[in-house]
Amino acid sequence: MSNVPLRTGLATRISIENVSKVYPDGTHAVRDVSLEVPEGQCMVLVGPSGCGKTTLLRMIAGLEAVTTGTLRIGDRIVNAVPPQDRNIAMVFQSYALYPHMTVYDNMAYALKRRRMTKHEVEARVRSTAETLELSGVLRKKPAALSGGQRQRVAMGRAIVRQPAAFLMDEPLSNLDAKLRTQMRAEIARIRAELGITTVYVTHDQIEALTLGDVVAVMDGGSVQQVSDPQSIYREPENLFVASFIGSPAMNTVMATTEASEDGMFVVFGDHRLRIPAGTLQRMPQLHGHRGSPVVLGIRPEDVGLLEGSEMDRDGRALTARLELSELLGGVVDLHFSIATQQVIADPERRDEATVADGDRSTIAPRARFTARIAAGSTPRDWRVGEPVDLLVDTTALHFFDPESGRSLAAGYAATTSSR
Amino acid sequence: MIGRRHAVAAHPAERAVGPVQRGAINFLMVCVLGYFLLPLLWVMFAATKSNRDLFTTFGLWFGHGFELFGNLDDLFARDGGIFARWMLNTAVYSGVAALGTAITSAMAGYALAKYRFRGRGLILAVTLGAIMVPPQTLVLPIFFMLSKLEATGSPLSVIVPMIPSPIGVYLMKTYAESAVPDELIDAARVDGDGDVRIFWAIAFRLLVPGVVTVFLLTFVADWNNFFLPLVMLNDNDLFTVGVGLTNWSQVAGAGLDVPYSVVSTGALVSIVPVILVFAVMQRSWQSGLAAGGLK
Repeated sequence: MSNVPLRTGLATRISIENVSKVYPDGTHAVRDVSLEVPEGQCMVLVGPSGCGKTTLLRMIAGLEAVTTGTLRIGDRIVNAVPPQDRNIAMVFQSYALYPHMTVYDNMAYALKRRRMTKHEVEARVRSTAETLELSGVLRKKPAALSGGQRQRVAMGRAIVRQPAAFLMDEPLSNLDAKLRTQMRAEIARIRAELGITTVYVTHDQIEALTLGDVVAVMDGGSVQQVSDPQSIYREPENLFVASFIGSPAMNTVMATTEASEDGMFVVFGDHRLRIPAGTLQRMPQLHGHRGSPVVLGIRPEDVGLLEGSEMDRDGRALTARLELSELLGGVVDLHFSIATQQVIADPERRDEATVADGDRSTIAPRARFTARIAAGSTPRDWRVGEPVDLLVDTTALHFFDPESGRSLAAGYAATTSSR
Repeated sequence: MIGRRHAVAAHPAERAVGPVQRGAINFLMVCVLGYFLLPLLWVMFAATKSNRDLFTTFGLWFGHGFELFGNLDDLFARDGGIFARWMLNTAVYSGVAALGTAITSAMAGYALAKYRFRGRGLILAVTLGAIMVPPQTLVLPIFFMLSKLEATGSPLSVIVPMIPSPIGVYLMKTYAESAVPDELIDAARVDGDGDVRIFWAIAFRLLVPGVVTVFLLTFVADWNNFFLPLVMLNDNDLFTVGVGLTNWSQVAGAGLDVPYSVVSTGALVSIVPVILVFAVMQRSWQSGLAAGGLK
């Protein structure tokens, strides 16, 4: 693909220790964040707008001062090191290409500043351009390029420097949906090829899950959970992570647990689901919550249709009246309304709720409940108002403490501190 | 952000207007046009007349002979060709001063737009307040200060006081806010540039349309500045064209050596450079105004 190796082996670890950012006006943008990005890995910072992810990235870049805490790139403490001496490259949301320079000059700019010979600069720019399929537009100015090409030039400007780390600030959010998917794969490919340590900021959970080796979910300036993408999705440590990650969002409703001779049940509205023994083992705290309210979380993907007469439908089935169906090609989203309180932890959805409860979550009097099911080969004619029999994968139930919002899954504390 | 082209607003739909209304509007516009053009026409006709015709023939038409070239010869030959010297002086003073104004305004405006520092609000308030102070009020204080330093009478005593321009700083601040995106500055910083280089290599290039605008506006103002050079200069060889012509005009008024026809020809010639500069830089000037207004 290219005659000059782009891989440098310079990959560096980035460690963030108890870092906070307080602006002069008193805004606490980042609160006591500790993260470790291992060499060559990609850490994605994901969260709603205003969660502090971009501020954190800009602190790593040196564009914002660290108020308290320690920031290391490699073994060097860089709190007081200006951005130009950190050997990092950044890709900006707006691409920030120099409009008066050609694509070639944009990519060569930082190299020329490093007293590199003309020949070296040219070799590097050309091979990078080849990797990114930009060879044909090197003489053009950014204004003459398409959105996707500009995005690639922004990537190229970072890659050509062979930096110790890439910092990417929502690099795909200015692209249309189709191009975004394409460039997401492209970034994943280039990253895998170069093996350069990367911190990637996005509000898009799909980007987070697909690009991240490690995902840090942020809200309100602090880190909510740091895990591999699978664990973030499968074992959210609190209500915020549970509702922020996943689309459609996890159904989160107020429920109570009750014990009877044939096991433990979770009850919400008119519905009653049996908690499997395995789940009880993983969440011994559930016993402590017996008879008291818990927040029940069910991913829409873990709900299916109840077909005919299944053997052990008891304790796994629920029936609800259909409010809306949305056909999305291969899957159908079915929306129901359930007579129990809904818990909304995602701030971007809070305004849908009517009752505020503290600052962490909001309670709505009726719960929306979504099921995502396979559309199947014979399309069914969904009628609004008709009762639908649903089957819940009860092994995948999530439980959260209604006070703290924390998951009742055992060991959640251990996974937090291990990072 | 990059390469964004602003479409010029479409012409407003032509509305139906009655012939009487249309005639009235056109008449009004012709009156206004005449109000502005008549003095200019007068100067143009006056430049073609002999001194005698100047006072005996109708001001807005030619005289008995066409004396323009004779007047020009006289103008440039009089007093050992001093008029050309005055033109050159004025061009140098206003050119250098306007360049100085444009560059210092760009630097100050960029700093006020893109940096957050202590005292920024105060500087901004003082700059805005200074826009309201007529420059003439400062001429005498500056003269007294410079004369204490024995610095009056030189070209610099005219150029330097003309350079600071609060309105230029304010225009450039507004322009820099929209023309130089913050992320571009961040990108240059990450690419290894310090503040000074970011300004000259990246920001200044984007500020050029604004710089041209400020240059043109101040060039015209400086070219027409009369009071400052009048107070500062006393050497005939260093006069600006305005001060020189006024001297001649007073001499002519006293019925002495210089005829009025030469003075009015000089007045016509003195506006030619301003028109030329405008014509040459018009394109960048207009684009600067448009970009500043629309972005």
